[in-house]
Amino acid sequence: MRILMTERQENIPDEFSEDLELTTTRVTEAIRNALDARLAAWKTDFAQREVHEVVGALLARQTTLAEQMILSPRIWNEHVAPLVLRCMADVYISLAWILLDPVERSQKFIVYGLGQEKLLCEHRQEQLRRDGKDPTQDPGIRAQEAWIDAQQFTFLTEVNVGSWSGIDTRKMAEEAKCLDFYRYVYSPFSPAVHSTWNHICRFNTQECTNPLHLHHRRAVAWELSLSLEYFLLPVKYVQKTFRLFDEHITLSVEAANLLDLTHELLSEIAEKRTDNSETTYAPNRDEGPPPAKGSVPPVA
Amino acid sequence: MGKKKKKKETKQRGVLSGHKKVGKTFVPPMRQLGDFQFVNWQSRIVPELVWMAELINRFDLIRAAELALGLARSAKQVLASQHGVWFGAASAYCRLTTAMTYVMLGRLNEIGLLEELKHGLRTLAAFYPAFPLRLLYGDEKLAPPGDTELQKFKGRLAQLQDRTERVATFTQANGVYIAFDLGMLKVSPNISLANFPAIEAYPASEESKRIAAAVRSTVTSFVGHHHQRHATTWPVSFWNRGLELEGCEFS
Repeated sequence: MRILMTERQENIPDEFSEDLELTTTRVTEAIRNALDARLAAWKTDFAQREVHEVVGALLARQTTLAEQMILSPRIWNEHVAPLVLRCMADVYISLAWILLDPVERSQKFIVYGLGQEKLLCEHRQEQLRRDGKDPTQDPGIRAQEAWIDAQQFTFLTEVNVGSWSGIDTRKMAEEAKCLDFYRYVYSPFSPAVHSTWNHICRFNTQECTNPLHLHHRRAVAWELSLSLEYFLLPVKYVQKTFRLFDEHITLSVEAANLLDLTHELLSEIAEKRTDNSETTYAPNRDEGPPPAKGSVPPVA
Repeated sequence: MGKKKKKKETKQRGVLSGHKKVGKTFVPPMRQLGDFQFVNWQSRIVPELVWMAELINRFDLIRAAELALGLARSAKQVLASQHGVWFGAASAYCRLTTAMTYVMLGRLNEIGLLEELKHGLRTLAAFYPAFPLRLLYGDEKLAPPGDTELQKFKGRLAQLQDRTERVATFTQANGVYIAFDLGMLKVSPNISLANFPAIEAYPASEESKRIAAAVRSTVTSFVGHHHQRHATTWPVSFWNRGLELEGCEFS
């Protein structure tokens, strides 16, 4: 395994890999504990069943995304990390917007999801019919319909092909007073999600330096070094989500500061390494993704 | 008949200030003035002017300018009935018929410029079969110049990457000089280009820098205009030939 720290690459010694694994495990345990503490303290109230289900599920989703990313150091690079982080930003903005009017918006969120599933089901049935098969006998279709019917009969379910909230993500962020998060986190990670030119040019091409060749670019599937920034960011975003939840759903939950814990654990590793290496750990506490590393990414 | 719905236009403040929002697109101020097209220095202008850069590298500045101007004048004379062809661009010489070329070569020979021109442009003509000024050599077979010469040419081409560098600047100045001489460019006495000869001091004096800036914008508009009026495959052919001459280099 190789690691990129403060513009330098080097082989990670085995003991560092072991320390890192220990650290990621401890951090994910802390995140899981933070979720469990909140869910346990938040008593179910069937007068607000949808709120519990939607808000709780989004909180759990954020936990899952953070956990999976933290436990997968191989994706701590610009190719994949932004995909997960943009998804986390999406979860945060949706949750922030829902919590402004939890009952109505949670219902809206569910109805939209059911409609999407109905549409997927319809397309699948159409495909089966084209293939000369009977969709009513297809176990997948039956399972899908049963899943929808259990919540709302399929024949009563509307299909909304617009956005679930009726407004775009930017507007949601504006109304939820997290426009900065939209601008400096959600938007910067979007080019990677959509594979637009400002992402793929930097991370999937290399410029030819031959003056006879007009500086054309060739396609390259770079293997990127990992960056510790992508360990810290999911921790930061999941903690931010927990805080948002705490602000709206008033509970007395005592939970560790996840980001401080992560910094402490990483600093311990760095101290252990100081004797053997010049490499220093310099966590960046700024919000948002690390800056792009130019047109020629480091090669592992 | 239904009315065509006009896209709503609003002026932007703060981020992207000065841009006009048309539908979902923010149009920058320059594009609001008209249908401007980007004329890329390297891809479109360099292939057109590289011949004058070669002359500058082979001779001194004054002789290079004399040779470029002599060639442009001779071409204009044989194309006497036609106006508006800027012979600063290499592809402009594609407009000469075989008969016209024959007459032009005779004139260049008479005034003693032909051999020097052929000497100055030999590398380019030998490496690039589609080079429009290969017509100077008639049926003559040009021997392949070899790798040493290719590496030297690469170095000279690399010098042209920055259009504000000295050789690139004088190459463009020669293009403007040709436009002046052929009567295609007239300027007001109050603008920097009016004292065009002062570019000789570039980049030592402030005035020469101002003139060089005017030269760059003039050349851009001349090449853009030239390509609009006279379709050419030469710039693309030039860069495609580069791929044949040598492999890619990646650091």
